[in-house]
Amino acid sequence: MVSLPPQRLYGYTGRILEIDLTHKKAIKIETPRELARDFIGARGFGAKILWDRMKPGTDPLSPESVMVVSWSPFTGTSAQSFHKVFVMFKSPLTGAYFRSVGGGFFAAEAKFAGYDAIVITGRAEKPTYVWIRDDEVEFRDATHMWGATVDGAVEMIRDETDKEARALAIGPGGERLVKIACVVTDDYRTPGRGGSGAIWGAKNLKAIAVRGTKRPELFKPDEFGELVREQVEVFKKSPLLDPFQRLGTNSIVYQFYTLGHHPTYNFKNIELENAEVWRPEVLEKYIVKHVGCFGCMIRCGKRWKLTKGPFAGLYHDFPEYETHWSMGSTCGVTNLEAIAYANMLCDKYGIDTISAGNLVGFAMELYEKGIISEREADGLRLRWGDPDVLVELVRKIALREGIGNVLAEGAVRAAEIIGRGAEKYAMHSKGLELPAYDPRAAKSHGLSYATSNIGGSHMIGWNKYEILGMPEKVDPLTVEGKGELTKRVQDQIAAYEAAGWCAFAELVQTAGYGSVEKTMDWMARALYAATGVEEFKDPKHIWLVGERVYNLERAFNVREGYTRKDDWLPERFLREPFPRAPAKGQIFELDRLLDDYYTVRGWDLKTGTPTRKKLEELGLKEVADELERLGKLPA
Amino acid sequence: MRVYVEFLGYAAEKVGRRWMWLEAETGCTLGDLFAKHLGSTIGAELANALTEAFTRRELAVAVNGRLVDRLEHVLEDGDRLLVFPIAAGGA
Ligand code: SF4
Repeated sequence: MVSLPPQRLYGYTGRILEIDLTHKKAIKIETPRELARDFIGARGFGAKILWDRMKPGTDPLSPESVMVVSWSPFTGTSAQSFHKVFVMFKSPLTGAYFRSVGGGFFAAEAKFAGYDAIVITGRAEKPTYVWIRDDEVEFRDATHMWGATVDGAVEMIRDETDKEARALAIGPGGERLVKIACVVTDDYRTPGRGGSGAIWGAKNLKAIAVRGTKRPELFKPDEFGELVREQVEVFKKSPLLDPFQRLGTNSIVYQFYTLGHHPTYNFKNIELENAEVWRPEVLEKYIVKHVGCFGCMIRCGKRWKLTKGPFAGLYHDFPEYETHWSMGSTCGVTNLEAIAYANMLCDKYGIDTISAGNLVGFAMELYEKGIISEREADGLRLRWGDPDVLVELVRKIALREGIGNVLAEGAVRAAEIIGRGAEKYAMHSKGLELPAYDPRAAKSHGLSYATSNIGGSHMIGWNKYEILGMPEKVDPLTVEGKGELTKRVQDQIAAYEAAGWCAFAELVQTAGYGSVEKTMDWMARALYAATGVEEFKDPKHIWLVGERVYNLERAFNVREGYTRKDDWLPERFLREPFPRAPAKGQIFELDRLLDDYYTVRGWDLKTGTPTRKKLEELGLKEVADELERLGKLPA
Repeated sequence: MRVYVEFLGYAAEKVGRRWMWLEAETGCTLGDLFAKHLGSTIGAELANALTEAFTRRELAVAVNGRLVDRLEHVLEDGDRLLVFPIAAGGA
């Protein structure tokens, strides 16, 4: 791409911090203007930096493995809900590109310290935490906190640094290189998926803590202030604001079950008795406090308190929609207290609740089918619906104990170790355990599971058209036009995630406007007012960044050897008809949907690889050149 | 014919019930059901308010687990309706 003359970048801090753990060196690099213009920030920065810096075939757990932690030009400003922390890496769970999104306060604090992103490389000699205070970066010994849960480590770090420090940390799961371990925020608004915690564990990195005193300078502060006021007004008139504020993602558990999502019993999806426990009025009773991320009036986070049953006394972050499913429906568990307790264990040990629960459901089905015995399960009878088994298995996975040591490898590897046909029941795509939607009950959403560059994620292409009928209703069970819809949704998400936005806030704003276009127009205007980057004025440029990011992430995987055969879903979805209303009788038409999708994307039908024409159209000529050099560009 | 109507969230609070069966004539539309049959059970004012919330897309209705976006939708005997405030989820 054409490079630009140096010019002030407003909204950005203008610096990227590189942390080299091997040499205990902190290097500050100027944020390239072209990087800002072409990739905006957050997920966009991650995709580009990983493409540039990661050699194909790098072991994600090696010192050479690179991780990008980033946010956006909006982060730390008054714009609503643009303060998420994005973590990009090559996943030790899947071997593919990965991006995971968390909330809380870390990103804003790191921006205040003066950085647009942190790039982590190398491996520390011994357990280390990194303490960033504005320009000062210290590598500190973490030996005494190695082995502690996330909350324990955060407390120690705050004692040793600053009571107000914000942190990302790993727990025992990451230290033990559990493949579903994650980096956790100090308030549990965690980028949970893909195994980021194992990378930190391998790098001997226990935590990064930060405190900052600077504030981003805006290009047109008055105009920007007006745009934020417009945003707040749109939020206020949005029908989604009240449910989100009252219950967060718990407002829809029961409804989604009724609509054919929230799969049961490891995606067998037979009726679940007692699904009424997920009615909003039941879940609301557990809420004792509302919490939110930096700069967000939605405050969708909730604290639960348990007063009865074997887990009485728990006071912790609530189980999100996904966790009600992973610790609940997919294991046949309807005991909300056990779900909340297992959720808390995941947070403290630092493992992904979605993958953990998926793996418990997987183990339960293997037990039901006689593929694993009570003896192999350390004497546990892995019966569907048993809350004690759920809690015990989650603990075992986090600590790599007994059967947990096998499951800690993730569904694909665990199935290989177990053998005896176990792989048939491993519910994943590209090695990422599937979350709380069934591809047979929402075809575009399912197509996004199959084609997602990070594997089975619901957030890469969360389909508001199919799932909420918003802003326009699309029949979730048809296949026509789903390639186009999937591309549109994936590109829009990539675009607003490059701007560091929260997916829930986008839904609230789009429901308020009644239109995706209006939301994207608003974002373009606000990005320009914040940064002064001329190109951001045009919403078409923002959409193009989304498509560019999506294609670059794809190219990363192509370079790693991924092809059409990896855009795959388990046989269960392709052959077993969905057994309950409303998708009764449905299967997932994978090949037909893939052909449609690749065609719309301008990718090669045989390999699922972006063509030179497509890459050049997106300004990614050098990416096409490299793929060609490696013999991976379609003829 | 009879249809089963289940209410969630503020819809349940306003109606004061979680579910009810309603008798309706063959060919009855969602709009008719709300205006006539729900109206005679919970009062015309409240039934109207729910209809308006549906039109403004603040309230969603699923019939047998499938979202319906038109008041003209024709109901059938034994249909199960879920009436709920539109809400979203994800993570
Ligand atoms: S909507 Fe929820 S997750 Fe998103 S920024 Fe606000 S509080 Fe955080």
